[in-house]
Amino acid sequence: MTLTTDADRLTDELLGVAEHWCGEGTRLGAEYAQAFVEVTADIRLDCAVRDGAAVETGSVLARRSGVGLLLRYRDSWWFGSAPLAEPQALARQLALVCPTGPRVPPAIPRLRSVPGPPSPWPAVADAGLAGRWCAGAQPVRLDLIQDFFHRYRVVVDTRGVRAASPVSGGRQRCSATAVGADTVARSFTRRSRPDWGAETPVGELVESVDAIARDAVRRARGLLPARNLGHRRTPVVLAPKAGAALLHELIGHAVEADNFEKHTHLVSAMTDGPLCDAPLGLVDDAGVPGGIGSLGVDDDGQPGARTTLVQDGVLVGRLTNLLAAYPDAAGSTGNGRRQDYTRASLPRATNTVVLPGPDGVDRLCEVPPEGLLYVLALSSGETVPARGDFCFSAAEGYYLTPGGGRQPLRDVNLHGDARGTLRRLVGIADDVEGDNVTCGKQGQSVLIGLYSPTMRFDSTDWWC
Amino acid sequence: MSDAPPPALRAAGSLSGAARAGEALEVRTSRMSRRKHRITAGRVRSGAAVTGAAPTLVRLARDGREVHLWVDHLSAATAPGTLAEAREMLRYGRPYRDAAALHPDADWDDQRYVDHGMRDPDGPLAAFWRSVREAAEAVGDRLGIRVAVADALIVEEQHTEVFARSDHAPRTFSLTRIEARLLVEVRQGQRRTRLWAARHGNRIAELPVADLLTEAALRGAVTLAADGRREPRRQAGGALLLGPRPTAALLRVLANDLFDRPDAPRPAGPLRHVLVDDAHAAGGQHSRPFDHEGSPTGRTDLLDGSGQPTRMTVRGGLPAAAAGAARLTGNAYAPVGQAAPMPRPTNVGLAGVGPGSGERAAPDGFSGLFGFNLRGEGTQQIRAGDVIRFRVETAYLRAGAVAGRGATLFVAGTVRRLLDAIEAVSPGTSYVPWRDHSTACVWTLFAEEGRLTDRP
Repeated sequence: MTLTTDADRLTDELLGVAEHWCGEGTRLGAEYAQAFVEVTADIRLDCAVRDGAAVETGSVLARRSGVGLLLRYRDSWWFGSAPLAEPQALARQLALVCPTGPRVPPAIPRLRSVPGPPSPWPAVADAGLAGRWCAGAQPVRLDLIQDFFHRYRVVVDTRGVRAASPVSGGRQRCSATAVGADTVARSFTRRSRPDWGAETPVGELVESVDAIARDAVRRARGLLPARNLGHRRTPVVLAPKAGAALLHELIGHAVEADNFEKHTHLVSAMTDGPLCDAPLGLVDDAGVPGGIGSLGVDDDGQPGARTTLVQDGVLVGRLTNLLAAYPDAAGSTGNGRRQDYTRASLPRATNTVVLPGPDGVDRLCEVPPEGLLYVLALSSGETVPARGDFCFSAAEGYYLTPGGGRQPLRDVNLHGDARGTLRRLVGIADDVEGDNVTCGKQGQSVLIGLYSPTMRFDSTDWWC
Repeated sequence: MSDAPPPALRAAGSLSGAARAGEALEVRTSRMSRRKHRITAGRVRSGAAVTGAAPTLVRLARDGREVHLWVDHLSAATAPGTLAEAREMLRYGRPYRDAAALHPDADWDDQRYVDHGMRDPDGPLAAFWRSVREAAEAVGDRLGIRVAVADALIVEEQHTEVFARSDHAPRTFSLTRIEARLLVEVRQGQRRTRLWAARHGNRIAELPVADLLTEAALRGAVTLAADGRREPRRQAGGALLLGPRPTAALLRVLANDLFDRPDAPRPAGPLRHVLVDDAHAAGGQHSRPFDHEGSPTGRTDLLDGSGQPTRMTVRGGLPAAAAGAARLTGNAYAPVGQAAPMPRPTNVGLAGVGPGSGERAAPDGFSGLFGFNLRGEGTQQIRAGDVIRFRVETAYLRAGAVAGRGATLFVAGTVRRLLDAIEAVSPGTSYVPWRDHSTACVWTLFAEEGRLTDRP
């Protein structure tokens, strides 16, 4: 792997491309022009563990280098994109809206100064860890995915923005499957760090893989005896990290400027008085140390910030990007994020943080006569922004009974309406923990951080 | 739109010839041109075709290991650097085994999958609009409501793919994807509502317009029936007819379960309806003659008549012990810019195999619950256990017409239990495209709603 790094030279080269296209936008009559250029090297190393032995199941390097051009032209927004090696493709797209036609810069065939990733996998396979993970009477299988990404991004616009943001990091994910007589149980664990890169000691990565794999195996085996309980209505306590995932879906997406300005039924309901009696504080914080969504400047070149969304249970803020705030130059909250150069930015979360509350964890976990659902990990969720209907699935949960029973549950599903569920938020503890996840919106995936303490919702419907 | 091969397709062929002794080199690249047409009050406006990037997958194999590189542009200038990097990456490669193909090589009939008529779109679009208006009138007459189409948006995609190997001549195929989105207006007395509805196909003349308008008209009538009613009327038990769009969502969950949990126990026993993957399905949005590893594709029962799954295999990661017996099913799929080829479905549908599995599900004359919307199926892929759960919004049909709003059903079951509950499916050649596969857009009849709903 070539590791020659010349970040300054690369940045200058990319800024030159961005300035060319931004200048062409202006020359062709655009009221506003923004050019975003990126060069990436993403590595994925997959591994499967079967019968106690590890085998690589995928080794992929993905290179991407291209430019995305956003124009405000004749009172409309226009976006086009092309690989750096094929600038004439962007010129052709632009010629469809600006008949005078742009000047095409020289093609850049290949940039090799982006650093490569570390090579942890052979060490993991050689370390004899797979046998340890699978030790025990209950058969177990594992699938591990390691992603490392290195991205150089620059953005230039006609308002004077000229920003460069190298982004790197890594993510490890594990799914373990415990095999029973007539059923299987899966669990999912993950860990990611924005500072994982070419300089990270291999031993640190191996240790991390070992930790998430052992955790996944333990959880999967614990879920094998889980039962099907049907429909219940009980208090629901969300463990640290899980609450932020729920609030990100119920509130976070609703306050993204493009959704907020649709004035949907959900937005109207949320702005019509306090969301809950509990002293809920919710912020979007681009500066969380170690947060996978942390950023210095967003993908529009605007500074990342901390934006208060909910204060003392009342909705007070929203997330914007440059396009949503236009023409107000100061109106962006620095939340413009995009998956890659082929898309324009959208208002997106960076790190969703639920602030610590006044309650003790023990009090929040008190079990009423009807029992209590304790959700350790939410796996995925979706909300219909217009109506506020949501569905969440929890891969791992426990039904707690007044007598001290603790029944493991898998595939718990929570369905409800956002406004009614938020009203039932009754307690927030102070044991904040963090997680990093992938968030999807309009076909674009970005990594975000989720931070929250233990939280309790009264009288909530769930199915298992 | 132009039929000329773009530079990336030519570069794929030249790179595959650069392999050294002992190396196997493959290049897969695709290109898509997209064009939109709008029909308003019979007037057609066609936009210019926009050609996207040509994401390219390069595979280099040597000494039993393989590595994959994704690049967003491959040309004569970029090819040497890509190949050099692939050689450097080989030390991280995964083991692979070549195996025999399950399906024979089949000719790809362009006439079946490519809409050549859209080279000059005015005629086909005018004919499509006429068929839409006639169908709207006929559906309205049948349901006793007024149905009209205010607007039509046609999205046309011409997809071309090349697969080149260092030891074979390059192969290529083309496919047209047509999406027709109609803005349908439904009137009943003084009340009216508008909604968008869509169908997909390979050729505009073959889109099931009447079926699309029937589903849209029923959904519109449900909206009108719900006006002013605070609580939906509760219906207990009886037959449930799931609409085409919700059926496509259900099939997506079922197919994902079989591919994501290949080792999960599947109880044996006869099934009347099996889940079929057909890479040659007419109307399929993911139809193809060869997969992302170049293996020939075909039709495979994902879950056969005895309830047993077919194991989908790709070359990479194939266990050595299984290599002798396993056959490549033609289901290798590599998501762009992300991963190496892995087993994924192509076009998934239902087929009747057992006694009494006739294709008779249809809304005409049907009385019972009509499931018009699925919620929550998108959260079901990352599951710990066997049970799939989602909500179905329903209405009550009497003799094929909407009689009132029904209750929301909470459906729960294993793949087996959900398939067991299917009584009949309608014929159909329209598929809903998801990111990596398509699922059939057909009416599905469940004989007893109680067999689907949640219970301890």
